[in-house]
Amino acid sequence: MRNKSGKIKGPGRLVALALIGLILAGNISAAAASPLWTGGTAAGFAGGTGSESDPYLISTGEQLAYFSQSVASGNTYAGQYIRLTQDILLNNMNSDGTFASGSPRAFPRIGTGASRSFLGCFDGGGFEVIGLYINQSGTAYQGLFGYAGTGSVIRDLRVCGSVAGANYTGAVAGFSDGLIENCVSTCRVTANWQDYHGGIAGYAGANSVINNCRVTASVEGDTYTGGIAGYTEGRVAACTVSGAVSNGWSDYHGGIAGFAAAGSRISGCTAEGSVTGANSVGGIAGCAAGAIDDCTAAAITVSGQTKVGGVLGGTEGSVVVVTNCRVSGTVSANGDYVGGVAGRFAGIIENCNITVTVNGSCGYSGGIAGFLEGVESKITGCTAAVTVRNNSGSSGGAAGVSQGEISGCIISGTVSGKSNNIGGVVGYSAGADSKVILCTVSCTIIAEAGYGYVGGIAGHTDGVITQCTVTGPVTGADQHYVGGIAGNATAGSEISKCASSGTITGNGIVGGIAGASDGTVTICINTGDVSGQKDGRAGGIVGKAGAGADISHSYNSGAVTGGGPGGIGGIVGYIDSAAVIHNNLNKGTVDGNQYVGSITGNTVNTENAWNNYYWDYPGAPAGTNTGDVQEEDGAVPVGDLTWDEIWDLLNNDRGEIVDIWEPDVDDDGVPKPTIMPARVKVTQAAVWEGKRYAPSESGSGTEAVITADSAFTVSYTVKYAEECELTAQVFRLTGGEQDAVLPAGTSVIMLADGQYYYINLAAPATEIPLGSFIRMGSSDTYAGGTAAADTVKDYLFIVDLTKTAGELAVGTYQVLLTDGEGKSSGTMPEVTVTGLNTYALVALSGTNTFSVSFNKNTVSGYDAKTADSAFVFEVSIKAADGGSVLWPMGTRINNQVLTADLPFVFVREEDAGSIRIDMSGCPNPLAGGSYTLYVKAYAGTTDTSPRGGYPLSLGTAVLTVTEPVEYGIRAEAPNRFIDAAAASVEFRIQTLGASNVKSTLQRKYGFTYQDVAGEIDKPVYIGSGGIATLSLPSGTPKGTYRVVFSLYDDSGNLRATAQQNIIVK
Amino acid sequence: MKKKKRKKSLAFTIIIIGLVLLSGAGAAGYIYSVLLNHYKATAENRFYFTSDLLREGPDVPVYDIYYDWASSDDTVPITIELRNSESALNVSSVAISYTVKASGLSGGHAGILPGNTASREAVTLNVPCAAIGQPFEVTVTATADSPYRKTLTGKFVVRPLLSYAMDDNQGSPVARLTITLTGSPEPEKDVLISWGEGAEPDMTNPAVMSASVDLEQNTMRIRLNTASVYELVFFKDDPSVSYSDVTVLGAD
Repeated sequence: MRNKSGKIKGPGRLVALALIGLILAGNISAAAASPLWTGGTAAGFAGGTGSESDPYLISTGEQLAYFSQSVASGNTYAGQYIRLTQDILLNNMNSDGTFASGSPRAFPRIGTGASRSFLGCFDGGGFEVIGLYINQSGTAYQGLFGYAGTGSVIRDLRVCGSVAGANYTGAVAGFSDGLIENCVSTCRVTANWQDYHGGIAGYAGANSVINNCRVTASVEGDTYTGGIAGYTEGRVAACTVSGAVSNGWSDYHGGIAGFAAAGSRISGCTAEGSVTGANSVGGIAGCAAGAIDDCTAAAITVSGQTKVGGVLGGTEGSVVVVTNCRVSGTVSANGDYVGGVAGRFAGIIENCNITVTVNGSCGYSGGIAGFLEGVESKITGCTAAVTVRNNSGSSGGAAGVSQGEISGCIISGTVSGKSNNIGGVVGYSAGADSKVILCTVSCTIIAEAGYGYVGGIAGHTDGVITQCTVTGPVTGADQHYVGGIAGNATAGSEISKCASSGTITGNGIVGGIAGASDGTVTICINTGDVSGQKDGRAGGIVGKAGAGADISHSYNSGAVTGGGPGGIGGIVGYIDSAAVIHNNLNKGTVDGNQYVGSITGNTVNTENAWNNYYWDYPGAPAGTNTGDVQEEDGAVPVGDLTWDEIWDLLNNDRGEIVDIWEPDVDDDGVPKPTIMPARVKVTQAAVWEGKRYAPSESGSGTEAVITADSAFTVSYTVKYAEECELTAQVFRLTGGEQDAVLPAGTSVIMLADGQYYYINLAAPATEIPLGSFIRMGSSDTYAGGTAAADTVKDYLFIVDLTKTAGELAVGTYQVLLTDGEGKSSGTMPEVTVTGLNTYALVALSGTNTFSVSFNKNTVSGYDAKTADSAFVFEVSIKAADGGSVLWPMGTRINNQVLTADLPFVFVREEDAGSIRIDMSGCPNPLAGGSYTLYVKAYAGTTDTSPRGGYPLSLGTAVLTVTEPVEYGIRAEAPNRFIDAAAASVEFRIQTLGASNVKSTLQRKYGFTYQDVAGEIDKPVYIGSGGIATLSLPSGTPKGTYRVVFSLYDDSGNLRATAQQNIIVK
Repeated sequence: MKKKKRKKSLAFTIIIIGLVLLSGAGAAGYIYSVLLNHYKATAENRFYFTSDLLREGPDVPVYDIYYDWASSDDTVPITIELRNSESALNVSSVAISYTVKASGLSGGHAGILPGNTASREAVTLNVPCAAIGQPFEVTVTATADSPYRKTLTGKFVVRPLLSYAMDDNQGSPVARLTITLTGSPEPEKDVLISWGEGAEPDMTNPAVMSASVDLEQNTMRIRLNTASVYELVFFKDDPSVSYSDVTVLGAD
């Protein structure tokens, strides 16, 4: 058998003890353990003076017992330090956590009470006290430390064994009002009937901090039992419990703390085991009056009688705040109040993420809270994937019953029950002050049997439900009121700006928005089919509108069918004569046996009905069961009116023009009420091709058709419908169902509040939050702030795609400025992307010449790269060895002389058909040979300096340069005095570079020479010895003449001249 | 005796005039010298005085020099080459003494090209610059003083490699800086742009994006193509004021 620390029994033990002795003698103790405690008490510590730098050292069980004895005698060790030097073996342990001995040695706790408490600093050094055994079920303050008072510190300690005590029992400390940190307990804690038991501390006082501790053993206690602390008034942080916290008969059991009192805080803790108790049972805390944040109850099983929750069972006293917690697992209660986060809760639950199964048997069952108590209580920003089951009472995806506010929650899964109130968010939203705001429900809501109210948001509501959306089916049983939003909305209630698209089915009173309403239903949309089976009433919006009902500005397109006589209507199945119905549109089919109408199933009071329209499809029933109501369009068909006309009529509320209905461009312009008004309402917008730096400079802009690598500008005037966080606004392009991907390299400049901001996209993006824009000339991002409702602001965005590769897809895009939720209203500017202009450049080789073929494949639309630009070709050359070569000064490029040595010459597109290179006039021409020619096309604004423009295409060729030729001619007449009678004159001619020589005879008159007629550019034959004989015209008068000899190259270009005077005597 | 002398002098003058009328040799610039020395010189003393860049009138060749000068105290070097030949066939048979001068430059350069064999000499003149960034013209004249007189001329337009201008931006939210780099033997040029308070450069400009920007000092160093025109937008703090507090200098 091996003990827990791996000690060897039998003959080897002596050897091992000898080795331990050697280690101790050598003061080497890092990985060692003490000898088994004898039960005795040492005379003192192993060493040390108790200072921080020289703490008292404990190396054996006897020395630990001495320390306990010393505290019990009244030494508090306040300001003093004690440190373990190795594991302390009090009792041998089996690997399963039981004691090796049937009668282990009991250890005397360190500190017995307030008057005999430990106040110093105990450092376990990471070592373990092995085999702690305490069994004092009749005595309070049990644990390794019985009582650690204010200012005490216990750290870096591990404990295993078993501790049983009366009140205030914990493995590390029965009571602590100091710091316990970095401790690990595998020590089982048990109690019978007494209170305050914890895996680390039984009771943690107001000054206590329990930090980064871990408990893996089970904790069993009576009232106030917790995996870390039975009761805490202080701080518990970063602790983990994986053991079971259990007791099936008492209250206040929590995975971390049994009770977290007012002023306490539990943060960053994780509970992974199971928690079982009677009342007030929670995955983190049984009951709390303090704060709980960033905690996780992972795969946890929590069960109890009443007030059972995944995080906390219930709340008491002050307002509790639960923030950023996560729960997964199962929460079950046999009685009332069971919730994924809390059973009964007064306070705020925010930003929690829950994936739980909630099993209730009666009363209040909620995916987040069983009962949200008090009008000040809130559940906000939570996401819950839930399965909520309840045998009776109220059940909701977020709360069974709520007296407060539930907002911004997303609920999925299933909510089911057998009677009473069943809702996707809340079973019963109780009281006129209750609210459900901005919630989204995609779960299945179903009443399995019985009677009551079933709704996509609330089964039953007395308060306000607004801006909520339901996409799942809602199904009632025999006698249920069933509504897409609420099963039953009582007098004074208000349902507004809600939408339901799921199928609504029931046997009782069934409505697309509300089964029955005695309150206000306005600006709602139902697109799901409504089926009132058997003998109920069914309406596209409301199944039954009571005397206090006001049904307005709502739209139904779901098919309404009913089998009973109660009334089947496109808007309302049955309407009380005192109820008001106006400005509604039904575009769904309506089908029933009797009391069937496309607006109401029964007759309306004409005083209370106006501007109600229905789609008169073939076979459509009349507006009411007694026909249409023409007066004030009380219930009339659309008829020959256009949807635009209907839109105008629906926005006219007895002469008051409202701005509620908008045409749905995706539905042939059918008007629909704006149920989710965007914060950002664009009241004016413009768009321009290219870059415009201020709307005032640009005038009105109505259209932009651009290439994919171009630029455009949009401006907006925005009026904020509600308070709006400006940095959360988003700039994006949408092609309808899909947002455009702005390619990497896109730059956007934003003008807001008179300041310019920018962003350069390093990676593709579909949206740009305004908070990511950087102020020009700084590294500060757009601060924005919050715009109050009705604030008007102007924005300008310049979208520059010229640095992209033109990946933006072809199409027409709406250029959107939206709020952080992607919503905006108003007419947005549009930009059409037509494609990409492409260019192909081919340079053709030649000798002293080359040519460029430049093909442009262009699309329509503004191209910022080429607008107002000409195409110019940059031409450069490299030698055979790859070295760059300058074009020599004097080079003629198509007769344009280069006036300096330059690396580039430029040729306009229109001159590029054939480009002749002539270096004959160069002082320093290139050597003859082959050169690599690089031709790059630019779009530029100047012919001579295009290189700041956009390079478009590149081509290469070989340019062959002929060897430079030196031309020269020298002519001399051996005899320049010619007799007038002579017929010829002889010249001696030398040439260089060419041999084609022509002569012109000129006669001198005064100081000038004039060509002699018929003697101009006469070919000269040069005979052997360079002798050429020129004939003189007969009758040449006496005088002074000059013969000009011209040397021409093979191309007929004049290359050199020489002249010689002769005198005809 | 006196009459005889007068008759001799008159005859000599007539002969001279006759020779002048007869002579068609060479350019007018040195006919006088021919006559003064000896008519037969044109046959025996071949005279060629040429240059790589300078030409004999009347058409004066024009050249561009792109130069980046930092102050008006700078000088720009202008180098020309003088030759005593037109081709291998046409080499001066006599030594040529010459002087080279440039407009705007006091003094000049004098030298001698030896005769009979082809020779050439490079002459560099360091001409004072005008105000920074202001183009100016320099006319260089090389004159052969003996044995014959001949003048070669060339005009050199010294242009700043780098120039910039800010638009008239009063009332506009932006100021547009135009930077022009002329052609240069170097394909790229580093420039240093400094700007004062009141405006910030467009950080989406591709040149700026590749620049080393110091937003604390309001400077940026950019490598720009030569033979180019760039526009850089500055976003003004106050559109109503005219902003021009930008300098652009060539950087080493």
